[in-house]
Amino acid sequence: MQLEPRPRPPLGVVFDCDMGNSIDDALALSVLYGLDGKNECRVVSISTSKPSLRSAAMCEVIGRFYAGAVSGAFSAAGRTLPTGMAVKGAHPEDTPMIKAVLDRVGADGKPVYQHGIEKLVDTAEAEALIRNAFTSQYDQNCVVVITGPATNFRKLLELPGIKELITAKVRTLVVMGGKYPSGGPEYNVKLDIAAAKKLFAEWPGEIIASGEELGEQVLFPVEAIDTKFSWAANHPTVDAYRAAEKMPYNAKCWDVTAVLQAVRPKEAYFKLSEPGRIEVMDDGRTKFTVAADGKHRYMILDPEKKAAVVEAMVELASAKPVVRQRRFRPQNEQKKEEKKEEQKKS
Amino acid sequence: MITKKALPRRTFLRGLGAAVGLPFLDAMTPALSAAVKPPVRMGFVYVPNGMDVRNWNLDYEGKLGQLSRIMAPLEPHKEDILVTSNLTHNNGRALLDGAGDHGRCCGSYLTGVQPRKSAVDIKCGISMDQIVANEVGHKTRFPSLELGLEDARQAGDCDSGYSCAYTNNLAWRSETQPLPPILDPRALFERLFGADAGLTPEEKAQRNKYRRSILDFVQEDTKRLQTNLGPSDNRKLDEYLSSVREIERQLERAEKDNAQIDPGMPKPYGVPADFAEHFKLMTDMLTVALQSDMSRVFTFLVTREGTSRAYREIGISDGHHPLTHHQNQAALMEKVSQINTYHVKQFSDWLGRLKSIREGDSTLLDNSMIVYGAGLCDGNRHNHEDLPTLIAGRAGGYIKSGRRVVYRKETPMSNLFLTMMDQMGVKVDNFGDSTGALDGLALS
Amino acid sequence: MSHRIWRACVIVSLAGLSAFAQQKPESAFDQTVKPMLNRRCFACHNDRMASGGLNIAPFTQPNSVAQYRDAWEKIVAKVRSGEMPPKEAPKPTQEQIDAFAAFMEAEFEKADRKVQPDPGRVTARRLNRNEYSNTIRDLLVVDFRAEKDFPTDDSGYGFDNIGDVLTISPMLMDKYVRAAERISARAIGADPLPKKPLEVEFSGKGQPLRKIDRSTVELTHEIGWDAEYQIIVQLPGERAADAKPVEMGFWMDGKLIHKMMVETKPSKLVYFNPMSVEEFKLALPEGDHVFRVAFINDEFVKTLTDKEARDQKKNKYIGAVTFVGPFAMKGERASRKKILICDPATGKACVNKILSTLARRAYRRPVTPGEVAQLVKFVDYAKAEGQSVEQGLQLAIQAMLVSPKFLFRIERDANPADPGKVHAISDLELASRLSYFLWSSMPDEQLLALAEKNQLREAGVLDAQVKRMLADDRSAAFAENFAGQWLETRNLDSVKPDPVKFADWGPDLRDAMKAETRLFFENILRNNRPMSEFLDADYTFVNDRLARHYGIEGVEGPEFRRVQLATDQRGGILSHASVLTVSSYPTRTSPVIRGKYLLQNVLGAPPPEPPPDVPSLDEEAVGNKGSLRQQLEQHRSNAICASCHARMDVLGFGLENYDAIGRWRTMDGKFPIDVSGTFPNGKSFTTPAGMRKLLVDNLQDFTRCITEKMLTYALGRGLERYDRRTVNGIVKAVATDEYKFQTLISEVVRSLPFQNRRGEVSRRREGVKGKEIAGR
Repeated sequence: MQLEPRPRPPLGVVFDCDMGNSIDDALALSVLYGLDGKNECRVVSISTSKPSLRSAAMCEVIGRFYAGAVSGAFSAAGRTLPTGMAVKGAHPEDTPMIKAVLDRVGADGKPVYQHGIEKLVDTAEAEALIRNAFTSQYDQNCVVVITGPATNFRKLLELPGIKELITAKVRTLVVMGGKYPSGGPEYNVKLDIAAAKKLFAEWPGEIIASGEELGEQVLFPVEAIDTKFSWAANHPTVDAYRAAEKMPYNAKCWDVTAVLQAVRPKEAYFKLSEPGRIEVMDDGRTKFTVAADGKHRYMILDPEKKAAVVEAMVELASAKPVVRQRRFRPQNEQKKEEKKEEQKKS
Repeated sequence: MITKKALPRRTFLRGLGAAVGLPFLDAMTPALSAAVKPPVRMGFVYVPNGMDVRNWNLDYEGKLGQLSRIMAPLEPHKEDILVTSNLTHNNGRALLDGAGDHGRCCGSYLTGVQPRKSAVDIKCGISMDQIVANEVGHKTRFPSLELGLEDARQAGDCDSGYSCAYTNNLAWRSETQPLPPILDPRALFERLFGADAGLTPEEKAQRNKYRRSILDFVQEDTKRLQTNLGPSDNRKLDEYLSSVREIERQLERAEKDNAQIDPGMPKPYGVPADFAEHFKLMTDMLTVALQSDMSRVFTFLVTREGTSRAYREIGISDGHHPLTHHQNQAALMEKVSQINTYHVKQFSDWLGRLKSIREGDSTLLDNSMIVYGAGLCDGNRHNHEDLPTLIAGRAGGYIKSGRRVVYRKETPMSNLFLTMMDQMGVKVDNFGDSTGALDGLALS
Repeated sequence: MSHRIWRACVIVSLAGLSAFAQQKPESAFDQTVKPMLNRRCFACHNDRMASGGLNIAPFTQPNSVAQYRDAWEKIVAKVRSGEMPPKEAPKPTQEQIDAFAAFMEAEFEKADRKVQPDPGRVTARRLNRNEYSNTIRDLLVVDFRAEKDFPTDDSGYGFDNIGDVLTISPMLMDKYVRAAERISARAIGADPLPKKPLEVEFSGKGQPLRKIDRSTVELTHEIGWDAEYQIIVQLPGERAADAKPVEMGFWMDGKLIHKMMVETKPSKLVYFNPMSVEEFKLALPEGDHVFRVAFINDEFVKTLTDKEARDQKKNKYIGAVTFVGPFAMKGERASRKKILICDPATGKACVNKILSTLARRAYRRPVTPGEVAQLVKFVDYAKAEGQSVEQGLQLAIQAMLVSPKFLFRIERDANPADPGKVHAISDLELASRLSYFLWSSMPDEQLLALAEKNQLREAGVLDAQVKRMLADDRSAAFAENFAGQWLETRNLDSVKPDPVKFADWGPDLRDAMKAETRLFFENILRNNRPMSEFLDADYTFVNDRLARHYGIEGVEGPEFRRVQLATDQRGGILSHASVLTVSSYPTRTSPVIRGKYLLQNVLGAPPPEPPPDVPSLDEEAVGNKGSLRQQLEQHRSNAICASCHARMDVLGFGLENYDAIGRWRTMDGKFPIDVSGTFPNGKSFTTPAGMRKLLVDNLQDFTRCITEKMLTYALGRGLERYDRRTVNGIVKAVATDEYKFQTLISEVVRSLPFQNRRGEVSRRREGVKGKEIAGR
């Protein structure tokens, strides 16, 4: 029986990345699942704009590592969360971090990390996946995080009625892209300028941008890789980290900042610019114009909070997976108790 | 429809079922003889409570080889069917509306929208068959035909607060007005071939004249009534009016063609107790209707969604719905598979009859596209992705059959409908939750 | 909930208590209610666990009474019934519970008094199939069976007379047009019969003749006209020379309409095959009918082997039935007497008179000269077409029967758009509400006349009318339609018990079951018995078939009679085979369905829907692997299900002594039946009779339940929050009058919503509502 008022459901997060192009997509997704484990949010959609089955497979590997074959948000429906993937886009090629994770085999010669993506049809049409994720969210209880080129969102924004849906469901879009205030041009934007233009021009709601300049100053302490993850015999993010660049290095965390801002705005990890409008130029540069009615802002590093950010990042990225059971399902031993009682009765 | 008076009607009806008989086009419609393409017919055959997907799914793509256990009866028509996988109806999902997947999956099946969760204040969407009927319906005597085999339950709520209107109907004329399927063979017979076979043309003309005068009269009446009424009351009278107008249109069409179609069978009485018999009787009449171009659009709700019908015909005395919640108990799953296969068998036999009717150098089946499927994937899990679906017929050549096509995950079922509407000559940019047309039906 | 989880709760609760420690200042609410909530509920219904989707925190604020009224009502109900707190949790004392409940009740009433009473608004109602048939019967004296060819009416809130739900499809419209043609033609009978009578033979070669048994055949035939038909029965074969004559009967739709003696010994005539023919002429009504021809108590065939039975030298049997007709009927038909109050041939004046009289009754209100003129036009039209005046009248009647004024019951308001404007419905509208409530048909002359004179609301008139209408036979429709849907006995037509497990099942038993419940209901209705008899009575109504089913001795013959019950095996609707059958699976009983049935139709506390993947029972296992009870209790060890099943199953098991078609039993397969159970309030029972006693003890709940159902049926709309006061009022009034059943009915008729209506609130917001997060 559903009695009003309901307990407030966790925040739904739609995550779109270019997994494989840089390590911080992997770190960002790990952090996201760390937050999911703390019931601060639910990952309700994962998609990649890197047109590569291997990139999608890597997303699924990390998803399964934390959420199991059936991911938490969908366990009620008993279905796996499919991975969205762009069919056309930049950088289809394989990268060392992807190879390190997908091609790693154990002593038995079998892959260490399982995933279910062999063919194109094992992935989902990203725009459909994301739209459907929106439809199952409570009003204003969903955030979107984009950490790669906006390729998938270009198509999404062409769906009929999508703007109304976004307005109803999505609180904030946090996008890693652009450079502020200088203007870039920045990597993600350059990879798909047309998409970036459309995104900033047509997205109906609030946008918070994390600029290139911010992530460059937020570094992931490499020693954490050795110390904090020791609980896991094999950890895809760790393997990826070691392979992504020449060890030891402190990874730049553009994407992770976007995740933290999206799920923990109250922590005020970062300062925000005054409202304005972000415009994408033909050459991929971004132009920010202050405007009282503007729906766009960009994140600014807050030196006082920097330590806290790094701490949170490390803690969440290295958090253990939380096995989420169906509510009220009684533990086995207790089932046995009750059975005993019945036998007594009958 | 245009018939040559000279042609003894019985002759062409031999075509029904039997392999002999004159080709429909040449014999019946000089207006569109051999040179002209036969019309494409579109239909939906809906089976309830999902399927035992273990025994439905195929493990390969492309050309159809070994069929699954449930599809096995379709072996003789392998070349005429296209099996699709991964088509999804997102609007069948809870989307925060809680329990009631049966109500939702049937209500959203052809409408592509999420039905409002209510037992009385029903709101769905206009179904795609009706969109097509509105466009091409004027060309035939009946814009569309709605058939079913199970009488709607008489009292009580249908699924977790969803009105029976959602589980008992596939076709929706408007957001609030479902089109109930005809269940009684007798009723279908009379609707198709007229309750008044006995009347002379003069008597009929006279009667139709009177009917018109009465319909005019009641429309006047209604307009006068509608002044100063509340919205709900007005809605009811609008429903009444639109129905009156539909009857008028039917009269006009009937007057244009005095052709008496002879069903080539006696008027049936009562509903056969045996499922297969009932299925055959209804589809026999449907076949005549399609063959003689009385209608090009139909929906066939085999049994109500969520039905608990028992199939004693094949020795299953438990209700269908309770069985589908088998919790993976082999004994119960076995029975579900048997029911699924039994349904497909009836469908397959019917395809045989459609195939036996020649139209020029093709067959009635070639010129049809008939979707056979369920609104739920696995009846036990109540999931709405990868709906068991196959398309029989070639839509006049567009569809390259004899294959299994697997689509990407989450591909909307509505995309298929968009493409089917296009084949029926109805161009719309989007439908329901479609994200675009569906490729892969024609070989790409 | 399990002990384990409960312990978890306690810990949380301590934290919770402190959270509410510093609430000031102390109001009555704070003293009586808040402590209870904090101590007894918060442990599980808190922000983190929100068991059952309920977080109690917001309810600790006095203003929550107004804010979350529905939720509050549920909470109070659960606490009063003892269902909450769960048995593992420490229980409050009865005093605390009573104080809590009493205080909240008072709060509710206070809250109610603040808002102005709202009668609600009923959407225009289309006549449903029963109402249509009955109205045709009372208007034109024509026997028309809408249920035979109109599509099933959709039902809402458990009834098929709900204005919002009754739609019109083109298919139904088509039916209306055709029905109007046939009905008017039958009423006036002006169309000439075919010159030559037609002949239809039912036999081996002709139309199918169904063999029911050795001396019974059945056939379905469409009679084209209300007219006389000659029936010819061919009887092949002959019996022994000393064979006695046998009585041959002829039934139409289950009614015996003709009997005659038939000679069975060899006729002296010479045949290649012995054969005789019997003929008789009968007036038959137009339409589809099932005819049956049979030798009545034909003892002789029982002595034959199958082979002999088919041997023309050994036996005489029914070989073929032929209908020849139509032939003009002798004598004036009743419908003409009713309609042709003068001779239309005499001219316009009479035509006017006929049509205005008819229209007034068809539209259930006085008609304007303009309206009559409209109808008269049809007569002129037909004449212009060269037809007779009477055929013209037929046409006019057709028009009347298709008009929305006939098909709909529309009620008017001065300002339809202003929900604030409450007004009494007109006497005429009230008359229709009454007649369709109690008769499922149009008002009769007396009612209509009173309404026209605006005397319906004069002192005592309404009550007198209700009494009169209940005494009238037409009130059988009330038993048929209200009781039939409330108790779901209508579904008897669609249920199909497994013929293997229940060989007894058949039409005769099914009809007997229906009859019992109908007669029982009518008895309480007509004799104004207390409603407790629904739940427990020492009498019932049976015929020989049902008596055998119940194991009641000494009942002979097919006619029903009242019997005093010797044992307490039966008594009240919950022991009626009808109710027990519709609440079972085809193959077995279902304590769950029966429990749900009781909660829904007797206690008025329908359970929530189960989760999507509810485990079903292993059919084979029931009765051999373990008793149904054991199986269900295992299934209940799943806590998700347990919470509600605890309620349902106790009630359901209380009826386990009756099998899936209502036979008394003491074993389930090879396991003894265990009926015993305990209600949430701690009272327990060991037999069905015991449970019935407990149900009678809280007659309040039952009365509320039936009141809600009846109000829904009477108004033709679902009940809204604002109807709660009406329901409470009626329940009180009925209680003070010893729960007399007729009191309930007249209270419903007196009630605010039955006598008043208001403008409409502009369309409520689309779907979205439920999807927003409350209390954010």
